[in-house]
Amino acid sequence: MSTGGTAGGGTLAGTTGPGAPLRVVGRNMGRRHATDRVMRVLLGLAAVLAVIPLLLVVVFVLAQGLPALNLALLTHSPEPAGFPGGGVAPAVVGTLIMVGLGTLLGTPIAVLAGIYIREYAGGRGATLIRFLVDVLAGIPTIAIGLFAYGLVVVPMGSFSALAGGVALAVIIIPIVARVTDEMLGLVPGSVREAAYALGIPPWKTIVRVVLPAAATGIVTGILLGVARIAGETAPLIFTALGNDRVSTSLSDPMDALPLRIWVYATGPYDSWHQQAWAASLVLVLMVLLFSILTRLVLRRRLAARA
Amino acid sequence: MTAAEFEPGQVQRVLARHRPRRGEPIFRGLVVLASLTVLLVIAGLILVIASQSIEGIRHNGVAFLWGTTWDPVHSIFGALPFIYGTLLTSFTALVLAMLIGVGVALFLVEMAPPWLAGPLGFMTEMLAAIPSVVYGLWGIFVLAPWLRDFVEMPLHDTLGWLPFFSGNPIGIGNFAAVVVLTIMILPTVAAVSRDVIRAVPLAQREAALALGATRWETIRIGVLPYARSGILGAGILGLARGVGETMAVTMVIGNAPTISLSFFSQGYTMASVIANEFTEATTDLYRSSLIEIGLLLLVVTLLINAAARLLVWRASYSAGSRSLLA
Amino acid sequence: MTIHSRARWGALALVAALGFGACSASATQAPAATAGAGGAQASSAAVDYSSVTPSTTIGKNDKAQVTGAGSTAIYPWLSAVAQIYQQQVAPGVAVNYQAIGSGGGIAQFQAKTVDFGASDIYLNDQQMQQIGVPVLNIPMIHWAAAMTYNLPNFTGEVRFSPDTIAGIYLGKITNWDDPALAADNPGVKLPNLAITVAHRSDGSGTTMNFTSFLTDTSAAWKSQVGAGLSVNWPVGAGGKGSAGVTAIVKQTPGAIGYVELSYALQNNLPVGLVKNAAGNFVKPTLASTTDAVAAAVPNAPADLRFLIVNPPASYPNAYPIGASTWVLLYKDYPASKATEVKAMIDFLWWAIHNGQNYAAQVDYSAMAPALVAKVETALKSVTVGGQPVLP
Repeated sequence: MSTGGTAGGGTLAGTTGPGAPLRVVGRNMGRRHATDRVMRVLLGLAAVLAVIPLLLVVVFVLAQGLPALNLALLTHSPEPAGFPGGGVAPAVVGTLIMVGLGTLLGTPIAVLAGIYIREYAGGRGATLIRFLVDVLAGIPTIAIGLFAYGLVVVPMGSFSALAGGVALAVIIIPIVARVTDEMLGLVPGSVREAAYALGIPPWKTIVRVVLPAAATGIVTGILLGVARIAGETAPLIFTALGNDRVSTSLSDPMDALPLRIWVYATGPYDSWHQQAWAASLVLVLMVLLFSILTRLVLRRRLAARA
Repeated sequence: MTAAEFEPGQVQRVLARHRPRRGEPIFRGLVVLASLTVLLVIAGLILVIASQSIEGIRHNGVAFLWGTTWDPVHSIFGALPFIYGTLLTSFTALVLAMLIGVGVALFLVEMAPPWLAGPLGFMTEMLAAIPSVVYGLWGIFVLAPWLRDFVEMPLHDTLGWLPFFSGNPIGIGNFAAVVVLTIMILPTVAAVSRDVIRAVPLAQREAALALGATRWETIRIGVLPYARSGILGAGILGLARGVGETMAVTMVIGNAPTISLSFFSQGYTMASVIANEFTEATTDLYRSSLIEIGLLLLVVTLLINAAARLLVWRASYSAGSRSLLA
Repeated sequence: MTIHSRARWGALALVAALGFGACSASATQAPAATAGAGGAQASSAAVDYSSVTPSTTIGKNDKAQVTGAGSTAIYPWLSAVAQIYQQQVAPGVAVNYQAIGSGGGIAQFQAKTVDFGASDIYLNDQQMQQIGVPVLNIPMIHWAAAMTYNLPNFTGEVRFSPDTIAGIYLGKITNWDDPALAADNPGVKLPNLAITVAHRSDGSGTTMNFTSFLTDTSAAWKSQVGAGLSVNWPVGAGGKGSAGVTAIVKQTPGAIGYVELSYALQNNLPVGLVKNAAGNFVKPTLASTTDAVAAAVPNAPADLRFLIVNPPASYPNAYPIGASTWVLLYKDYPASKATEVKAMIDFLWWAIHNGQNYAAQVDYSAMAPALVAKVETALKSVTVGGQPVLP
């Protein structure tokens, strides 16, 4: 942002000499206060603007989704295209299975990597792995889908829930690793020292003392990761593919709520649109609930450090 | 942590040297292995995607980057419409998100009373929790028709002679994509900026206030210069998110590989074309060319991210964390 | 889902199973709503398909999941027969059909990631060669690619000559009050409204048939664009699948798109009349599509690869943008897939016989009677580990 505006005379660093500050203050008081008021209003406006989309999305998802939300939606399979009724049961089951699979595959790696960063790696090693974790977090999820397609779908010769789970695992790793790293950092060094003083070896100290102390934070981090991957569509398009029937087989195609919402939202049938809103409501409620819980816990912990 | 305490890891390293146990090497091996997995995944990603795009690279050559024709029937693959669409939507959205996001961050840190700052900050972060596909759904049925009737039509009627507002406004198109992307980038920019601004030493503000500066002047001369590189990093992080965003954009941009200055025109982005066409690429060359777009997207986002991390890290490591959680 | 609609489905299926044949397709209503109507036989039900005994190679207790992907045009019919088949014939057989577009069907069939593909265009020689193993193109059903549009407050019928459609899709005709459209529609006042062109963003057999028709009839189209599953569109917005194009048309005043007929009718969208080789403007209906099929089938080659677009002037009532959907099968499947393949062939056998009874109800033309025997032969030639699946 430019510092050469109408009211001021430069940055603090630029104001040298004994008379300079007075010149800044003394010039044009009325105009300066007017500018101040305008800018404060603008900043407030930015805050309002930032909140409006959230309210609009939540209000519409609630208004459109609630009327179509019922038990049948969650327990029935889709009717043939264009027929009323039916539900998204295959997507509900599929999301549960694939998110579970992704979490199971990704979380152990992530927690261990987080432990390495915070407890074992030296300064440079930690920086390097942290950097890699951040890089992984920044990779577009559609590219992760391409990766899982080449890694699992092509060799297996079939779209599969497994491929979807692998893609989701790759997405959850950086989130959980980062949270683990941060949460372990919150455990005071004195706790570790006390354990060492008792002759407990470092690995046991970590497993028995440090990890339990950080457990709440790490678990909420995992929940945050779960909420995040539950809403992912792009990495599932050419891995899980979708399924109109309830399937629990890991080697067959599987449906997922975000996939189903995508198909129904871009389709022409009114019944599809209603179900897309209702499915979105389910997804949003779940994701928001997890996120709110997580943030409450993480915020308190991160704030405690500050 | 006080100076008297050991750095995390320091004691372990010392003890591991002097008191070897059987459990220790096993556990150490495990955590090293896990960290290597992260490296392997990234390397594997690049390798798998690069190796599958070789055929496309060989056939399309460098002209892939500026070819304007995407014609699978005649095996002519030019990626410029997608690169253009990605850059146009991401950068426009970034500018808007920066204006609003930095504004929110300043408001939260410098102006808002705590009872307001807490919930408000929370709500901006919640924007990031809404799944992309839900933004898409909302974009199709709420945003696009509204934009068409109340924004695009009036703009078209009054400023239609400008190339930006020419063409036939139907709601679905570049404009809707920009708005959705702005909303999606916003929490990243706002959260990181907030942490960066918060990290500005209080003395900076006190010095400015002591000189009799108004609140805004304090921000302008005391806070912003100090937080500049961190805010820039926040913007670049937001850019990375925008470039890689797939679903919401795919659902509202209209999916047409055209290069047009008009915000009403339909467009296409790199991520969208992969999402739409990958499962149906009928020839190996077609599929490989799509993966080549994926490779391009991967390289671009890797570079953007690396740059952003370095900028943000310099300001505050935790700010990087927040961007991940936001 | 309500118990109600499931019951209606059952009733509908029962009607067909008892051999009453297809109900007449009351064009603008959803199929379920026509179930109770009964009434006249649709012309497509000339053969009583239900009299053919299904192969019954599958038992009530066999469990299998069959994965197919491809054509979105066939999806309303295929998803309906897959459900009825599971409810009535083989409860353990789940046919999972994903409508990802014909291009996707062909691509995934080539990549061998699905049990069967479905495409609105047969595989060409190069594609068949690329797969490396013998494959079969099996036509399942015929339909019309309808020109559908969104003109608020306009209740008349719009007529299109091929050159006008080409002009619109080339971006030369940009408003509904264009003289070319006025010439096609004498006495009709079309509104002054900008045209929004909708086309497919994915690889599509509907696009193939549509662009083949334009290539046949418009020199300008032939030289500038040509025919293909996905072409280099001069103008327009892309929608994913027939569903996506229908959605754009439905939500955009002034839009025009080409979709499989049932998508337009089920969504209460109007369909335009298209001028055929005889010079008549013909509405897409079951009868006019069946005429187009009749024109093409006598010349159908043994490998069952043929188009039904632009029928000759000797069929004056034939709709000119007709299409078929093929199921793509490998001639031989690995022995490890025996259960799935058995279930799949049984389902397809059922679909080409009993399943045809549901065609008219979702606005498709049932398989031309002259084709049925040829298709049976083709299905019988499928083997698993070298052993024939059907007797």
